[in-house]
Amino acid sequence: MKRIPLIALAILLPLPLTAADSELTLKVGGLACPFCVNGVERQLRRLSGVGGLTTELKTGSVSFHWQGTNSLSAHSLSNAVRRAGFTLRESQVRAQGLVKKTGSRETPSHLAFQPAKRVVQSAGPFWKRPPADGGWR
Amino acid sequence: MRKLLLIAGVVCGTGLQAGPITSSTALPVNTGQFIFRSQFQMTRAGNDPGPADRDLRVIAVPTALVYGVNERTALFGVLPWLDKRMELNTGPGRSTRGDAGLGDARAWLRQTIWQEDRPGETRRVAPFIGLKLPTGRSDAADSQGRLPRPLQLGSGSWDPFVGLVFTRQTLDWEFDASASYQHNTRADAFRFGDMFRADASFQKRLWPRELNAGVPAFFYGVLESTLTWQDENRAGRLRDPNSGGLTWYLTPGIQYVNRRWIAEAAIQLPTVQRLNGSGLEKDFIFSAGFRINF
Repeated sequence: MKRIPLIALAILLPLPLTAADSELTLKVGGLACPFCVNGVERQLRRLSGVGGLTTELKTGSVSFHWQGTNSLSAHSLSNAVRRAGFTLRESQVRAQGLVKKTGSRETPSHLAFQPAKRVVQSAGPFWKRPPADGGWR
Repeated sequence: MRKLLLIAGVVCGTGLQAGPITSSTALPVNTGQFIFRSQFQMTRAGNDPGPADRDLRVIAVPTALVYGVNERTALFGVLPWLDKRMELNTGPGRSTRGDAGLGDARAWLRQTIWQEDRPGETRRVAPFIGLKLPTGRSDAADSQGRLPRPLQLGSGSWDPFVGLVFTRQTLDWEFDASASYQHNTRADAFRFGDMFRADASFQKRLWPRELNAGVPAFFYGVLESTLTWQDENRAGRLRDPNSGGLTWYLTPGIQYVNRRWIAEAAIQLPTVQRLNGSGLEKDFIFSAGFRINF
């Protein structure tokens, strides 16, 4: 399987993702004071594989690394933010390696993928390549 | 002396998240998280025109704990330690009466019913309902006999209260407004008057002036307004005409907030005191404390 870096942009990713190493950035609505940041970071740390959390209060964004040996669903991200009392407005995923669809649903139209600026190995944009098993990789 | 019950209201009407110093907030509590808060409060009331020349000092150290049941529900508990001392002229001369120990605890549940989150801003509305429990001693006595009810550490009664709080918080400022009503019940043929309280709090970020990268600590300037009204007390079926009334406080304060703890100080200045009968007006209430989440 060829490895490509991908950036996935979505309001809410509805499907589970797996990748070797990913960096995720969440835009959290309602985050407006330092004391509130602790709750969001605490909830995200509880997710398996999440580490290296950094928060930018000015933009309301929380970034973290995620080790791809664990599956991470957008639902779990949204849940974690909600359990802290806030609202997940947007997710950005920067994945190095394999991004695999594990759900059975069709890829939603709002899920837009763009090739990374620096492609390690590429045989063209991934969406133009024929699917190997009926899904996309 | 009759206003001591209001002091208990001030002691216990505290929010625990970042927010007002003397009142409540609707900001969320992380699910499964605890926030601990402790305060030191000193109340002075003197300037008694009567022959007793009463001089009251109350020191209160309320300890509060909040637990985030889920993203919309939080459980609060407050247990104050109180030291009430009143100096007054008696027949033999100047004497001091009072007591020290645990006061009445309060427990309440807050439920967020409306929430709108935007980038760097949140608005919420949350009603709360709770109960004041008679954990404080209400039958203390000294050499002059049983202490007057307002000097007791507890009321001896189970008193329900309800309220509503609105919060709008941005990266630059926060505004909180709340109102609550406490129905006081009878204990030992005595009933403190019901209480109504309305609060407004404005907190402005003074430092850093411009937000930079990361999560900087905030230094807020705080201005709060508290309006309290209490009905007359009743002993048996008789109303006490020298109890209850209206007080309006203005409260300047400062607050330092980082991601783990908050330190704050404020002084409540009674701007308007319209007390029934011959009351002992308060001079000030000073508060200093901290909150920490874990």
